[in-house]
Amino acid sequence: MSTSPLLLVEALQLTLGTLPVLRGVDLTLERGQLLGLIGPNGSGKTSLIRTLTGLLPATQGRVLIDGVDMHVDPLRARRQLGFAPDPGALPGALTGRQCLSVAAAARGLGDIPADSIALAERLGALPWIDRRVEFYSLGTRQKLAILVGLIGRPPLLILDEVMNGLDPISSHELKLELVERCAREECGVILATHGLEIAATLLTDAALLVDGSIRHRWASEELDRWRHADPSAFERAVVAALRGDVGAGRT
Amino acid sequence: MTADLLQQRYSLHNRWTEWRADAAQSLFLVAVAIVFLGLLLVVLDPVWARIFAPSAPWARMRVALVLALLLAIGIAFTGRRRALQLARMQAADWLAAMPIQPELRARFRRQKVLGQLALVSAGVLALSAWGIVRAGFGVTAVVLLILAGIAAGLLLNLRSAWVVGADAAPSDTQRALAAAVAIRPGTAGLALLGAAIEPGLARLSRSARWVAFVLMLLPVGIPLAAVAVMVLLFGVLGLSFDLIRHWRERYAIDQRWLAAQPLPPRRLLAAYLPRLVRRTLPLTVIASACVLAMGAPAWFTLVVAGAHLWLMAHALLCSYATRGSPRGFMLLLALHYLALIGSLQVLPLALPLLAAGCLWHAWRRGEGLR
Repeated sequence: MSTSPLLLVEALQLTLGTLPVLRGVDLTLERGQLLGLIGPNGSGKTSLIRTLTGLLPATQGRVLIDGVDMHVDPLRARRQLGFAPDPGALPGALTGRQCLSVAAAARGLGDIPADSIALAERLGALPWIDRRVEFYSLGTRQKLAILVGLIGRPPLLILDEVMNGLDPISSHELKLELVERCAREECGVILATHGLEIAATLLTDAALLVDGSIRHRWASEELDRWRHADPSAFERAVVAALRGDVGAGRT
Repeated sequence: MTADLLQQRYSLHNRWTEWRADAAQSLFLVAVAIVFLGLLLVVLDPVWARIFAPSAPWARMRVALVLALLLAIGIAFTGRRRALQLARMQAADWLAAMPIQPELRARFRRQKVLGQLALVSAGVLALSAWGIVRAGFGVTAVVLLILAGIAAGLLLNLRSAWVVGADAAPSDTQRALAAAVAIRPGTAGLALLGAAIEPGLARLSRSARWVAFVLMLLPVGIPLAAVAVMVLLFGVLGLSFDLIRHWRERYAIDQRWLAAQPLPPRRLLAAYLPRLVRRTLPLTVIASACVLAMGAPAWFTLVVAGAHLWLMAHALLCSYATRGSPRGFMLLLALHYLALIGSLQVLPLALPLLAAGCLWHAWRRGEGLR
């Protein structure tokens, strides 16, 4: 196994046109960590995720996945990466099973792995799997996007707002699945979310992204302490950090 | 099998299954297509002798050489343009973050572009072969030269550097044109929907292919002024076509997001009318002026203006009539055109009445939809 961190992001900058979106992001993630990426709307979460997955070219800085530079060898880097696509981008003309089959082919797997079908059953997506995606509800599309991202058990999972639209059972099952995979140190997860309540049950780490840079990172010990003492403390800490930032911006 | 090919195979399989599931409608569509094709063949048959006559202006070797060269360049650039479009789509699709070798995705693009170009070229080849046979093999050598031009264009698309090297980033021109869609401050309410229709300038690049096509068809010896007028005329017709196509895209989007609003369908349609009329009228005036400049009598100019306005209004009302099932748009359009062409052959005097009847039928059908 490689000794380098699962994900290493150094001084990552992104400019779209003349607009600076990411202003020097530094981030590390190890196997077993479930990092919540938190931030206000427009803070750059989705742009950061798209840059980490190589969908947007970084203006400066680098992204190393298991020691492989995304810019230098995107193919090798992406073999270590599972990314749940935007549910709206899934091909409407295909059935869920066909989508999974295409995703399996893209990962070089012979057929849809049995654990993907098992996960589809746990998420409640199995009854829909042989229907065309264009007839899916938002929640069912989201489930399929998650299954596409998790297919082949890649070591790094990047998930952007995947809890949106999920019903309580599938949301619970997804959390269990992610926690199990992290507990076995099989993978590390970056989860961009606005739902601070999941920090109390799910996250091992959290990072606050404001105005294109990481303003604060809460370590697992800190989250653990709050989790046991006061579950709402994390939400208060995030709000305080954000308000402090707004105040600093005014002065 | 690569992921892109597998996706294409599944998509085709599903479409085939869908057609088989609705056999009656599929057979009807095929029948309409065959009737159309038959009509085209009947209309074209007597013309071949004139088009493929050895005395035709284009049938001179030097002219044919230029035509072949233009075709080769046209096909090559069309292929590259299509490959660029596909590259941009692939760069943002659901497989973009998957570990797929870029060469495999590029090979898929090339195969797809070549397949589409080959299909069109095969159609041209079949038509040319038929024309030569009907005209008596007088210009076979010249036609072969032109077909060589088509083959050269296709071969250039086989070169990987030509289509594989296509950059997925949008060009500065496209960014500038996208930014050109500005909505005037103070525009409010449903008028905003009409205001979001792009100016004609943004569609010029799409209309340019029509102009290029006309340029290729013009016979040698035609005065330069006439060439300019023809190019202008067909440019205007191309813009009209693209205006309707663009409006239909916007209409479909707006219909979707406003579906839950208590908005009567005719009010939504009316929201685009001022802008569409304002964009259509100059096109009608320019088209009529072109026809007049080419020496047509005043009554014919008026007929052209009326026909242009009718075509635009008809396309608009057919879109309204088929808003619940956009796939039926082409079918309704085809049925109306078929009736009009039939009337032109049998009873030309009834044509204006029938043209008005088509508009009325589309409107009533649109009003009857819930």
